[in-house]
Amino acid sequence: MNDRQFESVLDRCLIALQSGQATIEEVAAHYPEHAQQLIPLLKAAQRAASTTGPQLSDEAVTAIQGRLLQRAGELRTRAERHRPGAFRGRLFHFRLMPVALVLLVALLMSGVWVSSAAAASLPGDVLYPVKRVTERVQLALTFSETNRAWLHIRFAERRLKEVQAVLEQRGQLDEVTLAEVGDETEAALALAEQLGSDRVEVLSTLATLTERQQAVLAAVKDKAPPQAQAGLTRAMERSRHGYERAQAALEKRGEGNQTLTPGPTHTPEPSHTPKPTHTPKPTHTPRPTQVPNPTRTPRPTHTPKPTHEPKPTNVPGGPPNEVPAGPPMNSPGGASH
Amino acid sequence: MPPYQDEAELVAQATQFDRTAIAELYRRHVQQIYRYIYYWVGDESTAEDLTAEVFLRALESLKTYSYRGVPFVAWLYRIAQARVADYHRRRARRGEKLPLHEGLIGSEEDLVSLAEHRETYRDLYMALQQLTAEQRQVIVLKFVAGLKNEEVAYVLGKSEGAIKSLQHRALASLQRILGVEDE
Repeated sequence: MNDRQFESVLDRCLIALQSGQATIEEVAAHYPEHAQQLIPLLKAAQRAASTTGPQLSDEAVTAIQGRLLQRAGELRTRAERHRPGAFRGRLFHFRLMPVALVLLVALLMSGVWVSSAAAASLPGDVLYPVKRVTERVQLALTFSETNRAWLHIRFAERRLKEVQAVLEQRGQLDEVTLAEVGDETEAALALAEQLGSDRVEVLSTLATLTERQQAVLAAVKDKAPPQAQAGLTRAMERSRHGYERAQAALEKRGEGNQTLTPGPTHTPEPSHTPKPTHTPKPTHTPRPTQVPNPTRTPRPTHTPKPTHEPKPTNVPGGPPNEVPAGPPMNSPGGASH
Repeated sequence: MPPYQDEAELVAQATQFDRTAIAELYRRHVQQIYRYIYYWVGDESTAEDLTAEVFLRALESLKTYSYRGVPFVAWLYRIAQARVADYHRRRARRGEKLPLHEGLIGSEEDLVSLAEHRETYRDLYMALQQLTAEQRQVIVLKFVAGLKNEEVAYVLGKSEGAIKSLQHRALASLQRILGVEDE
């Protein structure tokens, strides 16, 4: 009997043993020529199977279930929000009708004013839904995966600022917006992991973003009321996972040490090359009017010619000291309200 | 009687973020996943954290799961395997060693039966540390978790033939370490 045949015999014995209908000796008795070899192996298997192992305490089981169900609630809310037709349905929702009317009138009166007012609004404000709808539209009209990732990063920053502002102004933690910080970050991460050439840049930004989130959340936690502590701890943990996920994605391709290296998208675009408008023209050539010593009158024929006039050179990729063009949403941390 | 008889139906409900279905799936498998992780990290508190991570990750990836004859728990084991690997990578990066005894001997435990129970699975944990990673996987998945060969093969991404071969070598090593031939 070769190794493969013995492995099959052992497997059959293990199945018979696991069924609980026979003892080790009874099972091995079917293969008397291998019984001596089989019995210790079957005993080792039985020993492993009979070790029940540690039990998670009831408290821990309940605590994890609580987190799981809370996350399920957040995901369901998010799924409903992104459901096809949800935008139209919500726009005509009775709570949003006044907002829509306000938007319409205000747009007619002053589109700029509404836009800036909505941008500065906080959750619970009348214009806040306008801000969110604007963001959704912006996202819907962005087709590049890289740009979508940058948008999610920008929105994650916005949500965090809103959480801070609401806590400072109203003394309460907005848990829905706090969960959206994580949602936007994870949406950006999911996109970033699939990107091509922009992957490193976006992931590096996400690593920085999540690190900053943790610092901001820790500062918020210090000032937050006791009932807000658990929610903030969860958000910090989520942010930490986001950081680890970004780092793991970077390290997956040995990119972990490149986090601060700007990616190829930083290459200045040709359109930023300054035009050679500052080239000195020959008309600026100084005249020999300041030549001293009137005793020896110089002849005007010595006037220097503009032979060194610099030519307007063809700058290939922009000057080296030019500020590189950033990503489409150049300052993810600079989202304004 | 659980509200869902069929696990595939339960998973389908959970995909819609149905709280009852999610809670039911979680309750069914949480102890198995916890034990599996424990035998890889050797620390109860870390195993608890990683168990939570596994279920949260599973919840977020539920839409990617499709029932193709492999039970849901095998899919959970795959997630657990990835989380454990990630945990070991993080520790290695920080230059930390495995907590061989951490959490195994409870300082607050006075109950003799619990201490004896811990002693039993500590012995197995210590023995498992002496196996290769693949052998340990097979022992834990096959005999501690009770998966079938095809399910172990799915979790480890190997053929059933390879699992049988690994099983043989793993049991031979384990019986030498545990000294079961002398029993």
